[in-house]
Amino acid sequence: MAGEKGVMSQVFNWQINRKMEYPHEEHHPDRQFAFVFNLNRCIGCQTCTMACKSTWTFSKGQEYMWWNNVETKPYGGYPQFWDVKLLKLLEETNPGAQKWKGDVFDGKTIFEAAKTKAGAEPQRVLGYLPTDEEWRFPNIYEDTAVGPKGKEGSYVDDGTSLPEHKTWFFYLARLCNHCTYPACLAACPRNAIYKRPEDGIVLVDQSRCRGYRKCVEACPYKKAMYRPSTRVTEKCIGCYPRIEGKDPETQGRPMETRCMAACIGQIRLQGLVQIASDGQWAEDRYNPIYYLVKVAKVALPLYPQFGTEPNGYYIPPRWVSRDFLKQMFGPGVDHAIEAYRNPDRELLAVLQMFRKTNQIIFRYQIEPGPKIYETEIQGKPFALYDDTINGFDRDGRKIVSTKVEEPFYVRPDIHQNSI
Amino acid sequence: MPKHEMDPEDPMEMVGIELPAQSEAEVRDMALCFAEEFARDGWGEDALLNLFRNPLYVGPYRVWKQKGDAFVRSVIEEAGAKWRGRRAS
Repeated sequence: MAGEKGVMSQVFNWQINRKMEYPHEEHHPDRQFAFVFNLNRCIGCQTCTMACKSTWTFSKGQEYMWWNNVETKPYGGYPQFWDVKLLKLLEETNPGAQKWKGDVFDGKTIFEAAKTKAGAEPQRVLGYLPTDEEWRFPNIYEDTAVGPKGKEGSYVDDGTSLPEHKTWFFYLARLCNHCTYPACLAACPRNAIYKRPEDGIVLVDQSRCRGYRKCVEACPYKKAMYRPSTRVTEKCIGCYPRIEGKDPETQGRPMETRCMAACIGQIRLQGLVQIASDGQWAEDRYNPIYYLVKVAKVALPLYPQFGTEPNGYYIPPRWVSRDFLKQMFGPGVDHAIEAYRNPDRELLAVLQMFRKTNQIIFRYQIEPGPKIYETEIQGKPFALYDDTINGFDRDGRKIVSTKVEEPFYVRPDIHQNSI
Repeated sequence: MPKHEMDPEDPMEMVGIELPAQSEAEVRDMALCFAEEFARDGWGEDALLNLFRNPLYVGPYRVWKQKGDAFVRSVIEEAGAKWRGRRAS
């Protein structure tokens, strides 16, 4: 993508269902890195976080970098308050008008809002630079014991306690969304950020970057991070060597990222969706990501109103306040929760594919199995079939086969601690 | 430890603060979700009840502490009615 400073293009963003302004001309990859997370199942174990950290950000100057993090909503955030601060900025820029009309976002995206924002320094993208204090560690106070202020020369009698979340909460796992219209790319004055044509992964060219931190300011998800020891910016690279099949385990075929593969809660499924020449997702009915996002519509983008067309999708947690969820995932929330709560035969089978293989599944196929039982879910008939679901890799080879009815093993007490 | 007391009126400090408007129906919905997700993973009724009674499972445990055995049993029964009888506990 190359763009002339100050020149806005009109691009179509399907997540807000309208054209919008973007500081570069429209170019699209052949395939797009995308993922679906089932937030109903995330237990906040941070295995994904550590898988990423131990692979990519363990060196000097990267201490505060968490390309993947899991935050507790509504309390937590990394950097602290990232979403609350941007929502506030947008509201100040376009007071009372950041609203959806049906499935069309009628407010201003971060690109559009930047034009109207008052301020000494014009921005291509509305954003802010988090403070060092906000970056200092993820989930600030999340598990920090609290208690009264101490007094010199005396102990606190009743000790300290961990904060208790007395209401709904959920864990939000986040990484770079490898956006279709990346704000980091749009903001870079050096054109040092690019989107790979083969898989849509967004990368920072380390030799071009001069560390101006415009991308850090612009990324609404705050996933571009400055490294003081090298004075350039780094971000999630989508584990691209694995996507390219460089890991010997998959013998040249695309493999899921470290954070996906490590997920013990089995909430993650990653894929490479086909992109048509107009930039829309090409119909690929039996690609599991395409099915979950475009057919079942059970997985939704994170803050679609920001306007970057993020490629991370979430099955929203069904117990959370709908207003909160709609602000976070857009107007598709009611449908998504209904679809998940009362899954049809195909959805139930596709949900079984999560974390059954480390390879990227390009196509699935369902073999009908026997009906196990019938019941009602919220007054609606529901039948469970023990179907078999098969997943195929890029070359059409079967890489996984699993059933809706999984075997269940209970470890005997005498082996509880044996590994 | 935070240096200052947190201000519940400060929207930027939503850390460990009780939000209003958690109705009984919402508590039930959340508890039902816990029960269903684990039931779908193959947990039986006894195992589920033990999960709610276990303080290490913070969310379910809070429900059990607030609402007690009878409420939790009825939630587990409802989850069982949906994903029932497929595996014994």
